[in-house]
Amino acid sequence: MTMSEVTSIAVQLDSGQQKQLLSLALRREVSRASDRDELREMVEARAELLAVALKGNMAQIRNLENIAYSTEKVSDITDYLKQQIGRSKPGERWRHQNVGVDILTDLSSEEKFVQKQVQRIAKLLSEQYPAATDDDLPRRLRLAMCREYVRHLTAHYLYSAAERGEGDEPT
Amino acid sequence: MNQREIGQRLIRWSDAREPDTVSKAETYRTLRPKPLTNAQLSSLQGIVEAAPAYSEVRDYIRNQGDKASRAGPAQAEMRNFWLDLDQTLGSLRNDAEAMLVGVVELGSMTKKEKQTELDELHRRLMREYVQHFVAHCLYLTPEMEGE
Repeated sequence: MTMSEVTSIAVQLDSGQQKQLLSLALRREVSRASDRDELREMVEARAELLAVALKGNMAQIRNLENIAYSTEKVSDITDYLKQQIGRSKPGERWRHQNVGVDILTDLSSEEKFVQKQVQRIAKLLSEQYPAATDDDLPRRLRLAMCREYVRHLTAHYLYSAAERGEGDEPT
Repeated sequence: MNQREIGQRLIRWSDAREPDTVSKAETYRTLRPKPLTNAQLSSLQGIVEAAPAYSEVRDYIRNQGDKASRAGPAQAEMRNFWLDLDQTLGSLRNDAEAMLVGVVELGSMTKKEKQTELDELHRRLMREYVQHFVAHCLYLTPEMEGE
């Protein structure tokens, strides 16, 4: 079934049905974006640099992951990153080769993959499910994309730290 | 009262107002890291987190503003900063009031009940605002070598 066929069927559904489908479509589109090589390559580069910068320390990356998955606000994630960058000395930790700022930019800049995907998916979903979308959709999408980014970052950070012989002992 | 709806509105408000806090931090960039120190930012955040009422936050901010005034012209920009922050945090009460519309029957509440609801939401909005503001201040002027 083509996208235009999906759209022509979806717009005929009532608001409640559209909301259910929107929720599923949001997850599907975010998952697709999350699997894109473009994101994976970008995040892996950041994770490898961060593993060097933090010397495999687990606390801060786990904190970031916990915040990303427990908050409903994108700003809580960016606030945490800003605080870590602010507390790092020049060239060290989150300021090692600008890694913290680059991560923050990846999550915030309109020119970067995350925000481009947010805009693309928001446009697609609002065309497909016009009765179910609201003006908070881009914000919710951004949170979902930020979570995906952080999930990949954490996973590859742990992998990189382990490769370097650092990080948690296996349990 | 529909606490869930208020929680949702607060989440949306917080993310939407974050750019304002960034602008505010950029406006006073020249005050960092001195005379607006990390210790002062931590104190501000601590007060906002712990204060049971806005009046305590306001008293703290006005006290800081008075201290800057007494320090003379050299601290004029600091005085402006505290005045501006006082005004901004005070104005969040209007946001709190707007946020309750349609969720709480303000008309059917006693004056005291209305006051309590507004106080609580006002404090929550202040916490969000100050959290974003402090985070961006730290980000703009990170620790220097040897600190």
